[in-house]
Amino acid sequence: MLLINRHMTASFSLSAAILFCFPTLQVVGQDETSEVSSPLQYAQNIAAITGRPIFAVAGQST
Amino acid sequence: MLKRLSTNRELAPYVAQVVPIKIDTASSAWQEWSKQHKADGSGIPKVYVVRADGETLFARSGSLTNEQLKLLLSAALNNAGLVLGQKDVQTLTAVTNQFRDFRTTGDPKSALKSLKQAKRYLGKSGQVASYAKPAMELNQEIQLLVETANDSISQTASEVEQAKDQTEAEQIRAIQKYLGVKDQYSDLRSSKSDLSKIQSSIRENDQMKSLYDSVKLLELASSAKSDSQKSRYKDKLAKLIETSPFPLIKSQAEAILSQLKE
Repeated sequence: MLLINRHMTASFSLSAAILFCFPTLQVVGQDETSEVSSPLQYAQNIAAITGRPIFAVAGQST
Repeated sequence: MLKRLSTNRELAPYVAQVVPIKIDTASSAWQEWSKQHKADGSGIPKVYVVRADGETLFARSGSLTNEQLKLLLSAALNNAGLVLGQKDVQTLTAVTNQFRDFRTTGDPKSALKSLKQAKRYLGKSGQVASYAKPAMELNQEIQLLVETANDSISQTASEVEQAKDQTEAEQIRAIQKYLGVKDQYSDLRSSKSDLSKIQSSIRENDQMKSLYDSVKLLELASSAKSDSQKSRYKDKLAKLIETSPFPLIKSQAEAILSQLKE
């Protein structure tokens, strides 16, 4: 529950330009940078809590 | 493509309402993701729009132009339901907790009253049109209460029908049951029509129609709390005892009157 709340709070402070950069597993926002265990899980948590759909692009790591 | 999403001003209003993510096709997360969301085409990149509850709205191979991205995001948001802010999440979570507490302790009336704090989120269906977890949890709670209400109202309707051919005592019991159910679920929009049908059914039977107003008066009098209410119902009960042709109504009125005089 604490984990979800932390994600929830973080999601509202991140800018619209959230980028999940892999393989560093780092979430980079305009206001903050925080390390998370799994970017995909993080995105799914934010989507589940806020109702925002996930827009995903799958490709090869550069 | 994700870079364009974060830099293109025309796309910004749409991007603000989605959660953008890039998935490495060499990662273990990709294996899981690609099993859950099957895409059309085999090339990369693959573009996905996935609703908050996990439903795949779009999954296809190939890059998209800015115009296509705009159309896709716009269509996705039209099908994504209400997006919640932090305050919305807090409100809905608090209301769900209150609602659940009242529902599970057998107090649907208070549960329905607690929904007033979330009134602006509720659509015509009586549910929150959102796929966000806090909204879906509240919807599930509301659905459980609706099912209980339907069972209770349906049972009351059949008891009222049966009572029409039964004794005065059974008829009084059926009317009391109806009044109790009506009191509990009168704030539930989906139940209003069924409750009205039961009342119409009661009024179709001459004896039950005569009993109805008396039983209602007995119910109200027995729950009178203030001195002015008690005084008012003492007079009404005294009149009922004088005029009612029903022995059971008279005896119940006498019992309640003596309680009010204490």
